Order: sequence, then structure tokens, then C-alpha cells
Amino acid sequence: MERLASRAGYQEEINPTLSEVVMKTMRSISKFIGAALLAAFAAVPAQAREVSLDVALGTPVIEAGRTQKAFLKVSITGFEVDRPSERPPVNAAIVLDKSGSMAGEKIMRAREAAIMALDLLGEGDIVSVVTYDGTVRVVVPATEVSRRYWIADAIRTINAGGSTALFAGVSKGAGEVRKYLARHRVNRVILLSDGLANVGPSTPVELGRLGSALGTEGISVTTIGLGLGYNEDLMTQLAGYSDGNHAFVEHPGDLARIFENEFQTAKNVIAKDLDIVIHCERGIRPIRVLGRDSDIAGQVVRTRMNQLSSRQEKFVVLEVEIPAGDAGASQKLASVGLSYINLITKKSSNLKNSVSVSYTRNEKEVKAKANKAVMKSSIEQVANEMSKDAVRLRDQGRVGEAQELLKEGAKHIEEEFGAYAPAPAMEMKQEMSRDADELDEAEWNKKRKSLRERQFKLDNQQQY
Amino acid sequence: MRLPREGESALKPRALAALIVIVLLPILFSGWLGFRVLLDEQELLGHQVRSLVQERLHGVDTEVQSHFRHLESVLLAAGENLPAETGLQRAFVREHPELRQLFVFAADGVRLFPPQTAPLTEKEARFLERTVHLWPENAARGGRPSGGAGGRAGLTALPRPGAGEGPADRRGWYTWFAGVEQNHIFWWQDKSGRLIGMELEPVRFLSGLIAALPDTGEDAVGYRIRLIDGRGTVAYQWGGHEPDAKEVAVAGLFLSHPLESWKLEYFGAGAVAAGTQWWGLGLLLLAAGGTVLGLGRFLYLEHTREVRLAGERVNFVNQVSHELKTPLTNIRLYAELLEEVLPVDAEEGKPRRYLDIIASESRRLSRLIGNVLTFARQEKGKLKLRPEAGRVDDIVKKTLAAFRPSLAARGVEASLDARADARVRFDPDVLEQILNNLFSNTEKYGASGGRLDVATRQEGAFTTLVVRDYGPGIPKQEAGRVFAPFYRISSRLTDQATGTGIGLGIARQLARLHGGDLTLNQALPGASFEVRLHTPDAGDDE
Repeated sequence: MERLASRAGYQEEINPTLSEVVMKTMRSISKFIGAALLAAFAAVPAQAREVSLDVALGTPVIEAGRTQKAFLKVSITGFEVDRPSERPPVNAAIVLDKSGSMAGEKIMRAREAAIMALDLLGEGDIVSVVTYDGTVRVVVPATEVSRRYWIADAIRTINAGGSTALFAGVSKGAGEVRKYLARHRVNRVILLSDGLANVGPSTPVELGRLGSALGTEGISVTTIGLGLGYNEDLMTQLAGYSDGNHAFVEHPGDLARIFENEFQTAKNVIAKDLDIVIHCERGIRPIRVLGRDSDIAGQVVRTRMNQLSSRQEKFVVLEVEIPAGDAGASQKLASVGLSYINLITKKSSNLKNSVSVSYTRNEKEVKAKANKAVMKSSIEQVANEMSKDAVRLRDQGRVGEAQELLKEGAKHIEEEFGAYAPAPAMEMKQEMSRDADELDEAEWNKKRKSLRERQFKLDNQQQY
Repeated sequence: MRLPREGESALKPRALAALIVIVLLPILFSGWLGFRVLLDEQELLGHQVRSLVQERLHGVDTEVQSHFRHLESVLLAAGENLPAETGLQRAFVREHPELRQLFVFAADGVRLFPPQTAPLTEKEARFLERTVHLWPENAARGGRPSGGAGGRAGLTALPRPGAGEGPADRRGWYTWFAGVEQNHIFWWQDKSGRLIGMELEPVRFLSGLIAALPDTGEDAVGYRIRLIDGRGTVAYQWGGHEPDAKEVAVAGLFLSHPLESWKLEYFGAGAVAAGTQWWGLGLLLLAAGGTVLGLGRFLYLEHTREVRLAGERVNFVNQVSHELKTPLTNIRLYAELLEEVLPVDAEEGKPRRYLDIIASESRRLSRLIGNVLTFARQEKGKLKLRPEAGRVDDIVKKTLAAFRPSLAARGVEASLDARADARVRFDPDVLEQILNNLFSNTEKYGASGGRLDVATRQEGAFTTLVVRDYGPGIPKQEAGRVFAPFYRISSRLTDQATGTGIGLGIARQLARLHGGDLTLNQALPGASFEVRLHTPDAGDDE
């Protein structure tokens, strides 16, 4: 009787989620139909089908007469998609950890989330399901989603038990994605793990390099860390280098929501293989790229993004050193080139843009002309770097130093950015102080995971 | 009629022992045989399993090899489009996920990539550090700044560029360890003489290899194959069998070049199958044992039944013989009385002849009954000697005299060479019975010779009697059997009682009882029986 009751309870719990999904789908469908009708009747020319490339300096006007640092933000924003039929097909491998620690509610929720995710996909999408413990099993080889019931039945057979061959699981998942790997598809491995990898390569560095290689292939890896037992460094590196998403899910009950977000963003991808090349003009010295992995060779900075979703903004913040200049003078600072694959038009595109800097003696003008959006992003990225350093120190057990670093950092943020963007600087200062206080808490493990998630989302401009 | 059963109880221990042997021997033998067969089979099976497993591991090695071939074709195809300009070469490395780094040497040995003149990216600089041992000339000179390795390639592991052989041969894999990480370079010389080396991204390489190897599918049960990398750690594994920490691999195989420091290990299988076979053997043995035991019990029951029946028959005959003895004695007594009463001068005619026949036939019957009773007594172990003082020759003469008429009737002339007239102690009844049997034997089987020689002599405490006939004799192969003890459970007891079996057998038993023996000596023609009796000197006791 008790079991029946609890099952009924779980039904009630899951039903709203499903109905919510249905409602959402219905809403979006009607919205899309409406939009399509509108477009047809109005017969207006289609909106810009090109991503937008913006290049801006935090301080486009700087003080004359001295060498100084400035933040350059290159941001790329995805255009809106009119018709759902236009969306590129998704080719996803769901890789589920089924090691012993997943037993019970976790694996049950994971199964539910995976089956629910199927409903978000449509004809033409490809899905595969891979599970791993000590070994890997391809539960559903890459197949079209049309065989939905069969796939769901296969997912229901998954039970937990064994050790954790995470590397092999991701490799097999990537192998399944590779079967249908195509430029016009959104190729993605979605990894759910709650534990530490213990068979095969298991360090964050190694998994990061795997992520990097997969990213180059056009496969992004989304990592979902469940509970408090996983290695957040490994999971964020793997996701980060492949330009996938990362999420920290403390309670198995939230898995369905995360899966939904993940699949929704996967469906919204409109651009892939974005290569960004920044040529700094003579005299301008590139110092560092914040957040993203990049190559700096002389005056040339290269970085790449695997994919971009509709309406999503992704950006790179480059710190540069600008030589002293004369008041009133203006100088070209850098030119930026972007090449990418447009998944809607199915064509490769190249965009160019550039940015200049001018010098003034008027300090007020410097402040007045400051670009608040660039400053906000810069603050976040600089703080993020400090946050990572603090975690590193905290990992070494140097709690005091880590706290000191964050407090100093907060002060530094205020000093450097306070004048240009007071509100975000204050906000960041408070957040850093709060983080500094929480470094010492008993729930460090959990705190660390949420910090890593936050850092990751800032690095990658994740949408959810 | 009460039937005593002592005979049965006397048989029991021996029968039991025999039965135990009959039952145990086949079980032990078949068990041993089964054990041997199973051991052999297991060894064979083990051998087969090992060779099967080896074959399987070789199959995996082949898969790994074909993965390398696949990589080669991918890299060669990519190399076709390798641009000449440094910046584009950099982009080339970035765009190929399999690649970590790249080197290009011109035909004249000048390093083109990583560039020598343009600034290096950090990754390229680290690549040169990693591969510093590949440029030994530079290392030996030691003069060049770090990162500027090898103005001219002096590659030891790889061939010198432009050392003109066929281009097809000018390619290969080069593997080395940088720290704990194993790196692979695929190098070849293109048509323009350039030496191109592509370093694999190790993690991507392993990931690709894993994707090419099998997974733990539904039917992957009972085994586990492990791929152990050059560091000795498990790089990948598949198969549903979960080996425990102590389990030893059934088989192992080192992979072929360029992964020769990697190996495959196979766990499980074989052991499980053999286990069920041992169980099967146990069951088989149990079944066989059960059958043999059942058979044994059946035989035992049958045997005791036969013994009981035979015992009843012997007892019956014994009883009958006893019953016959008294009337027969009376017949003999009155026949002899009649003989005496008949006038001596009475007409030599029928009455006396009839009387003689009656007397001799009743004597013959007495002998037979005597034999039967002696046999019965002997069976019961109740045969006893009753020695008394007397002369052996007296008994011999008396017995022979009794046989003379019937022997004469068969045309046998008996002669006696009597030399045992010393007074000794012996059992006259026993001697008479022995002689009766021997003479009767001659009468029955040796009459054709027409002669019977009886000789007696005495040496010390022994008396020897030789009874020789001139009949057909006894074939050598039969010699042992004439004395063969009567087969007690034979149902043909009574038939045999008149044959040689019981007579000569009893004669020998009696001779032995008398401290001597009865032996059969070959004589041509005929048969010669020699009786030896212990006859101590009677001395003056009378």
C-alpha cells in the first residue's frame, strides 16, 4: 500500500512537469505559427540572417599621455529564427552514469529526464543513449527519434551498479554522434554523472583536452553534475573546451528541468564553428583573453566558439595595453574577423569589424564615454578569474589567502571599474565579499560546485 | 523337517567381502576413469578456451590495427591539403581534432613548421620541448636557444628527409613517452620530398580507439577484456563479467606496433563451464555407484538364496543318507548271514551268485552313503580322525578283496605288493574309505587297462600307497580338476556325487586329515594315485 501511495505521489509530481512541457510546446508552436502567418501576410523581407559582430572598448576614449590597459569586448549575437521548421536537426548522445552511486532516485529521475527529452525532439533529429559504469553499453545506437517508444523502452531498462568509466562513456557517446556527424546538425553529447571517474583517463586536464578535440570536430559536450559527489573541475573543463553547457543539479528532481533547458538550447543553435581572429594594430599589445581558451601569437589572437544559439550573446574579453597617445588623436586599435557556419542558411559566412580608440585630456569625458555593457562584462570576467584563483588557493587549504584574494579583488574591482560602471562594480564587490566569507564554511563542497558552475556560465555565456 | 542353516552363516563374510569388492571396484575404477577423462577433457577444453581467447584477443589487436590504418588514411588525406604558409599550417592544426601538433621539414632538411623565424605559440614551443630528443644534433650542440630546435633535421628515430626510397616505404609511426604520457607521431615523406609528422592528440586518440572497440552489449556476458596502456592502467574495458581483485587473467596479449607497450587481458570464461562438469562427474559417479550397488544387492540376495537352497539340499541328502544307512546295514547283515547259512557245498549256482551281487551292491551303496556323510561332516568341519593300532596291509588286503569280484567282472586283474605290515597308529575307516574311492575310480574309469597295481611301503612315520591303473589316464589339463572341491552351491549336487568330483575330493581331504596327501602322478599308460599317510609307530601300546 505504501509503495502504491508513493508511486501515486511521484505521478503527481511528474505530471505537472510533463503537462508544463506540453503546454510550452503548444505555446511555442502557436507562437511560431502566428509568426509564420504574420511573415507571410506582411510579406516583409526576412530579418537579418546573419549573426551580429560587435567590437567595443570599455573605454573608447582614454587619457592621453600614458600607457594604459583597456578591455576589448568582441561579442557575437545570434539572430532570431522565424520558423521552427528552419531549425537545424539535433544529433545528441545522452550519456548516463549508471554507477553504484546513481542507484535509487537518481537513476530513476535520470531515466525520466531522458525519456522526457525525447519528447522535445522531432523527426529528423538523431538520438543515442549510452550508459556506463565500469564498462560502457550503447543502449540505443544513434537512431532517428521517430522510433520513440522503442527508445523509451530501452531507457527504462537502465539500472545502476558498478564503477565509473566516464572517459569511455563520453568516447562512446561521441562515437555514436560521429555516425551522423554533419556540419548542419547540432552535434552534442549530454553527460550526466554523479561521481568521480575511476576507469580510464580521469583528470580534469585530460577530459579538458578531450573536450577540446571534440569541440574541434564539431561535437560539444554538455555536462550535468548531479549531487555532491562529482568532480566539478573535470565536468566544467570537459564542457568548457568543447563549448557545451554545464549545470550543477543538487536534487535529482531538477534533472527534468535541466534536460529541457539543454534540449531547448540545442534546438536553438543557429551558428557553428565560430572562428574569431583579432588582429591588434602595431603598438597594441594583447595581454590576455579572459575566460576562453585562446592562442596569442604576436599581434594575432585567435579563439573559437563551437556554437551560438538564437538571441544568445557570446563574447570574448581581451585585455590590451595601449601606448601613450596625444590628446585629440584617434587610432585604429584592432580589426576582428569572424567566420562561421550559418545553420539556417547552411552557408559559411565571414564578418569583419574594427575598433578605434581616441585620446583626451578630459577625465570626465573618459568616464562619460565609457561603455557600461563592456565594463560590466569586463568586471564579471576579471572577477571570475579572481574567483578561480581563490578556488585554487582554497583547494590547497590556504583558506585565509583565498579570502584575502577575494577581498583585495573586490577592492580592486571598485577602484578600477567603480568610476565607469558603479552599479555592477558595487554588486560584484558585494558578491565577492560574500564568496570570501563562504569559503570557510562547512558546505565548501557544495559551494565549490556552485562557484564552478557560475564561473563556467560566465566564461561561456551559457543561456541557462 | 528341520533344515539347519549353519552353511549359510559360514558363507556370509566371504560373500560380503566379494560383494564389497564387486561393488567398490567398478565405482572406484569408473570414478578414476571419469576423473582422468575429465582432467584430460578439461585440459583440452582449457587449451581450446585459451586458443579461442587468444584468437579473440588477436581479433581485438586487428581491430586496433585497422583503427591505425584508418587514422593513417585520415592523416594522409589531410596532408594532401596541407598548406605551405605558416599561418595556414597553424590553422590546419587547429582544425584537425586528431592533431595535437605538426612538423614539416623541407627536402633539404630545413624545418618549416613549427616556424623558425616567426614567433611560436606556447603550444608549439611545448611541442618542441616534448620532441627535443628527436633532434639530437641540436641537443648535442646545445647551442641553440630553447624552442629553436633543429635548423637542419637530424632526426634519429625518423629518416632523413630526401633520402630517396620509394615514397610508399617512407612512412611510419613513432611512439615515445613524454613524462607519463604516451605520444604518437605518424610521419611520411610526400611527393615533393617534404617530411611531414603529425602528432596525435593522445586523449583524442584513445577516445577514438574506444569508440572503435566493442561495448558491453547484451550478449557480452561471461568475460571482461581489458585494454591496459603503456603505464599499466586500464584504458578501456568491456564485457559483463566483473572480475574481483584477486582474479587472474585467463590470457593476455601485447598489441602490435605502434602500441607494443599496451596489452589486452582476458578475464572469466572456462572456469565456470569446468565447474558444472565436475558436478556432472559427481552425478554420473553417483548414478553409476547406485546402479552397481543395486546390482550388488541383487546378486547378494540371489547368492544368499542359492546358498540357502544348496544348504537345504545338502542337509536333505545328509538326512536321507542317515535314514538309508540303517536299512542298508540290515540288508548287508542279513545278506552276509544268508551267505553263511547257505551250505558250503551247495550247488554252485544261482542263489550264491545272487547273494554275492546283493552283498557287493549293498557295499557299494554303503560307500556312497559313507562318502555323502563324510562330505557333509567335512562341510561342517566335524570330520575327526579315530586312530588305532593296526597293520595297513591288513586293511588294504581286506578292501582289495572286497573289490576283487567286481573288478574281475570288468576284466581287471588286481595285484598287491604289500610292504606295510608294521604295527602303526592310523584310522582304518579313513584308509578304507580312501581305498574304496580309489578302487571304485579304477573300476569306473580305468577298467579298460585290465590291470590294477597296488603297492604299499613304509618310511619312518609315513605309509605310502600307490594305486595304479592302466586305463586311458587323466589328461594333464584335467589333473587339477579331479580333486577340485565340490562346488557347494551347485544344484547338481547329487549328480556329481557319483562322479569323480566327490569321491577323489573326499579321498584327498581324508588323506590330508590323516597328516598326508593324495596326489596324482602321471603314468603311461593309465593313472597313478599316491596316498601318503602319517602313520606313527604304534610301539608297545598293545
